[in-house]
Amino acid sequence: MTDKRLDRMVIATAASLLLCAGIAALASMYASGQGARFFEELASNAGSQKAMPSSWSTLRTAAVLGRMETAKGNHLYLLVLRRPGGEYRALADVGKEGTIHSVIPVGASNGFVFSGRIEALLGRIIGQRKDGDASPLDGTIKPLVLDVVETITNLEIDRLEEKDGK
Amino acid sequence: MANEDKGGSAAAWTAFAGLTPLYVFSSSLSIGMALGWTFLLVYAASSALALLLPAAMGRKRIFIFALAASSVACSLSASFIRIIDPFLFESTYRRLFLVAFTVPVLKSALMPETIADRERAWENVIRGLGYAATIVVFGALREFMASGSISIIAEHVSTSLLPMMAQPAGAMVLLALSMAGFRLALTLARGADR
Repeated sequence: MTDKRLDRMVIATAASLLLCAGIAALASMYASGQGARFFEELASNAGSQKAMPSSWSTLRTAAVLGRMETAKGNHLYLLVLRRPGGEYRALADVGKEGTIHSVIPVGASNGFVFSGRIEALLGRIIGQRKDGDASPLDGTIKPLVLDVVETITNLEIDRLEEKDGK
Repeated sequence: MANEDKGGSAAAWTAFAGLTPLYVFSSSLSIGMALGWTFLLVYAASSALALLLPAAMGRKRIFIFALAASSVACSLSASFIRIIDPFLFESTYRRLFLVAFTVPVLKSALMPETIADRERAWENVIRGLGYAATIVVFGALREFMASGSISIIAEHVSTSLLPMMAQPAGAMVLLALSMAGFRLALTLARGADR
């Protein structure tokens, strides 16, 4: 095989790979849009307020996956609390002033032993539940739950500061 | 013949060791399927390119092109998983891109050295399918042992059987047990040959 022909072959292979990378980038953008729509629909079907179309923003900060805005001006935070062995998913409804009004569970991994306790602890911390039940599991998951509440608070501070700055 | 057997089983052990990160992360059937599917796609892309590109291109160039192709395949697979189940993507995307750099994939990106190796390249298809199947089976087994159910059959089950199996330690225990079982089966098969 001559050098010239080999060079042409290398360039053609590289160009084909670049084209494939471009297609992969487009597919990734499309998938990202579909993912956003999925989360907005999930919020609307979860019995809370309807999320405004195209209001999803991915945050991926600690256990907070993203945020959506509702027609009333509230914000819905999608939480995914992970522990080895599974995850617990919930929506936190946060008011205009930055208070967490309620937490709505939207699913959990099969056999995830902590899901019930995470729900109970989250409800108690935000004042949604008044019962004082306790479990030996609470000690291990309390830091995770406190961290998610703190993360939402920080994200709300950032959002309100950004809004005031405009 | 005995040496060939030893070489074959040594390659299988290396592949198992190289796939350990995927086995550890495959804690449920759905995660196992996502990882298995990605592995199959990536492995197929890299071995196909390593086989189809002309040898005159040189080993280094072929290796780099095969790795680039496997990374693109990995990205495409991640997009596919994101469309099917965004939650599954969110819990697996950090590990999905690891698939392109596992030992079996890197090995498949190497150009076959001899004509005999080229002629036996179809074995890569079976090997890839086998590795992907072990990742899926591993996930299903771990989920079943951890919760007593499998997500395709029963959704949102909150029972627990052996929660440790869903954790990384459980993966190591299962891996050790399956390797011991595999070795025992090999020893028995060799004994039967004699």
